Amino acid sequence: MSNHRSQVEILTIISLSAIIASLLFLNCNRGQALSTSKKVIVLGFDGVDPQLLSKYMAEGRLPNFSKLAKDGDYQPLGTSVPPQSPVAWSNFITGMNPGGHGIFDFIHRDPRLMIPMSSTTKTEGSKNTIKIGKYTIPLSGGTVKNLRDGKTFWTILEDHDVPTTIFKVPANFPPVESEGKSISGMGTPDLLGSFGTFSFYTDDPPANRDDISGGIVYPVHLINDGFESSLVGPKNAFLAEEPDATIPFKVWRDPEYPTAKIQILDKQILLKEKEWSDWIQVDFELIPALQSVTGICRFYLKEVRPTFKLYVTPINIDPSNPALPISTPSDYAEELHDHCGYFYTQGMPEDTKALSWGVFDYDDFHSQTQNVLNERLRLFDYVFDDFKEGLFFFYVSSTDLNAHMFYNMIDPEHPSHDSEKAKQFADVIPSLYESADGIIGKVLEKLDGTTTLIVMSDHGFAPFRRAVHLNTWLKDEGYITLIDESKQTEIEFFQNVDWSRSKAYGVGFNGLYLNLRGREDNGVVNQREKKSVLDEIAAKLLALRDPQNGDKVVDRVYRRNEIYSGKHIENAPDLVVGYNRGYRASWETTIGNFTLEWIEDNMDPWSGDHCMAAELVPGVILSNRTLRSKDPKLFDMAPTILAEFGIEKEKNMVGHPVF
Amino acid sequence: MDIINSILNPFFKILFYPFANMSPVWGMLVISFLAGITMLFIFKATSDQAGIKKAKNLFKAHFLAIRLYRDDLTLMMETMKNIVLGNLGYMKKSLRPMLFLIVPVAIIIIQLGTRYEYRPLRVGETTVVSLTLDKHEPGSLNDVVLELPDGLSLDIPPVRIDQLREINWRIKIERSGVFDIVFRSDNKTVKKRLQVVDSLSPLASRIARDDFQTALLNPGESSLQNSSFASMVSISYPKREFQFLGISIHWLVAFFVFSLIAAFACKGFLGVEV
Repeated sequence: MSNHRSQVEILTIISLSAIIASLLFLNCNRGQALSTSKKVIVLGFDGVDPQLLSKYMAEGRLPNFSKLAKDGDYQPLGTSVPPQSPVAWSNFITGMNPGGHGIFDFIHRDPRLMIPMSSTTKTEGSKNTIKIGKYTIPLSGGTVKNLRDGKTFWTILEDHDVPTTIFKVPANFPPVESEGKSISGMGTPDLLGSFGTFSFYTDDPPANRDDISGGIVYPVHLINDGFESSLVGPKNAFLAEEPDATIPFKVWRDPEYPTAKIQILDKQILLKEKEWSDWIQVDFELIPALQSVTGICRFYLKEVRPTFKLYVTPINIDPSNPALPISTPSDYAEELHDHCGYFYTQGMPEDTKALSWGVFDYDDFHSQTQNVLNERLRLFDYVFDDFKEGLFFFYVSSTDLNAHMFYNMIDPEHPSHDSEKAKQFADVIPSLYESADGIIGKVLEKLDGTTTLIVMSDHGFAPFRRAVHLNTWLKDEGYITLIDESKQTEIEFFQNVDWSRSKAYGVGFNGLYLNLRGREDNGVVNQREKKSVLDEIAAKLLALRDPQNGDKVVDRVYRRNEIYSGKHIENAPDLVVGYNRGYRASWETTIGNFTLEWIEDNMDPWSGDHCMAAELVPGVILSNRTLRSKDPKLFDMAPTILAEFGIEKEKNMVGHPVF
Repeated sequence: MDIINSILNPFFKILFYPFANMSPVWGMLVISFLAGITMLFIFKATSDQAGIKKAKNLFKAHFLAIRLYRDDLTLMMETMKNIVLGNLGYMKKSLRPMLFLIVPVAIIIIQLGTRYEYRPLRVGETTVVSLTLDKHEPGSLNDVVLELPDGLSLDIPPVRIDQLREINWRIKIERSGVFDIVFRSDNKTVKKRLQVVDSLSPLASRIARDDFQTALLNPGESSLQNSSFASMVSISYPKREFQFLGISIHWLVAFFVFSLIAAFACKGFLGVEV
């Protein structure tokens, strides 16, 4: 009997101890002021431009930016070559140039297959599987590989026992192994494995619906004001034919009011026109009762009648139950969800494709990007409140993607400028700068004497008025020969190129490659010719004039050996085309498609850009400390942060501390 | 079913009363503990305790035989067979008390479910309230009028679905309290309770007319009257997330784990053979 009694007592003591410990844990006070040990706070506002920033500061709209510039320092920050976010942030992360970290563009190419591919991540399915009936069961997990090379500055800090918090830095998916808290940013896919695929249900699908990229249009037929359809999720790799996993849902609209009801799984959603639902958790069943994958999405009732239009966001990875690694430690995403609710986990949450393809109008897009910004501000409050010591990095994408889409509102010379729309939306970009200013204000309130604050952007912005079809130009100049000229605009992804008679090609936003013998599978340019062909193309590009106004199209042409160093230099483009302000590579040319004209007006809402000559679109750096360097660059940031903690930079870092 | 519920509800209301304003974990821990003890007593009273003890002793003897005679294959096989047969016999002896346990366990689970499956609404939240018009009701959806008390407001115009004879409203919660929503059609009225409270209250997510299952699973509120113009009224309460020691678990799993721990911890000094 005494044995039983002691067992009960032990159980009771263990249970009570565990309960008390958990209550203490749950109630621990989180909202204290920053402690006094060394701290470095870096706020990364993507795409904040020095010209616009100075203008808005002069107008008195940005008191905290102005205070920082006055009390500390403010300079342009030299960006990467080319000035593209994944390249620029990789420079920031590693302290190297692209030759060292291996990210040269959003888009790379496989010289064997001559197919454009993502530069930042590579996904591979499970190599070992077993078939049971109609199911294919993987015996090992698939892999998602971050292609950026080089040690990140925060892992070096952690090696020296400096705690780190890294919030959504781009080019960090999957997040590098880290003892600190991090969540992945740009490069994080949606649940379909894409960079964001929206769904659009309408009873009047647009004629070009098959051309739409970044989303899928599903035609629906309303019977008695209702319809049934499916939310399309990831491929079900457990089935041999890998069909899409789907979740059926029903929609009814009111016969009179502009309202509708959506019934999905066990959830009922009532929306009025132009209204967003909250995030909805959706569970895609892969093997009944055994295996499923969860995601999150939001519904937007764009229009009820006369045309019914229902938009659904890309299905994001569920932070409360992530299907892919998006944070370190792995439960950090869940912690963020527990304290802040659901949030966009996809790398580029602003749905620019929906606006570009006419699924959104500017009002819709603005409301969507406000959702993104509000979520980000909510997350900032929690994450910053949680920060006590070490390094804190926080990233905001809204300043970049909104500038891309609303630049024509502040640029009267832009071909897509509409003065009526501009009255309504000209204030969007400055308002976003004000939001960034608000974040700085919250940090300044808590700043103590031992903390270094760095506010920076990866690049600036410029108008994108004219689209340059580089591959069409190369074809016109005789560097590319097509197999079938009559199908010049029909066949995509270089599939119409006769490689045995082509000397050079463009891939990505700034890259130009020779079709080099021994490197490309059907290379024709030999090593002896290489320099002369490159010289010739570079000279022609620099002489290129816009037939519309006579302006220079290309400001600079960079040769890889002059700008890059490191072990990945062999993968670099042979030439990097630095377009003049106002000009950029067209969407078509980045992936190897051809058009009839080599240059044309850019009528896409994507009206501002930065994939130009690096010297024309620098970023910004502001700090509460005075900068010693007169020409700070992005790759100086990693050595600077390390130096703030008294840590020497790595040997392969090319940058230098700026303080 | 409403009569049974009217007897059971006050009993469980008293049982949960001390924990109404505490963390939901405490109510679950204590009720599970009491349920575990109760199940032990029922098991003891309805099972063949001597037979179970004998069966367990036989198991011990068979396992001892396996350890002692591991070199004798014939004896090993014989012992294995006896273990399987003994196991079947043990299960047979457990069957009777299990049958006696089904009803009280089901009642406890239903009462827990009304408190732990959903949580009450909070100020600032919205919810969907739906009413299904009875198929024999001559009126149309347009005749149904929603009357909201102070503290609740209509958020957007309703969605009426003729095909389903259903009308849906989105209601915004402006203050806490227990509210009666009134639906009116001609001179008839239907009421549905909506709870915006911090306490652990029994919630009825739906009430129906002539529907045994709905009445069984929603004991917190009476069924709709047979003369009602509605066949069903529902409120979308949010799912309650049950956490123990910071870990999210389903409340049903928590109940079974806690009650089993209590039962196994107490079976010794209560002298119950399980």
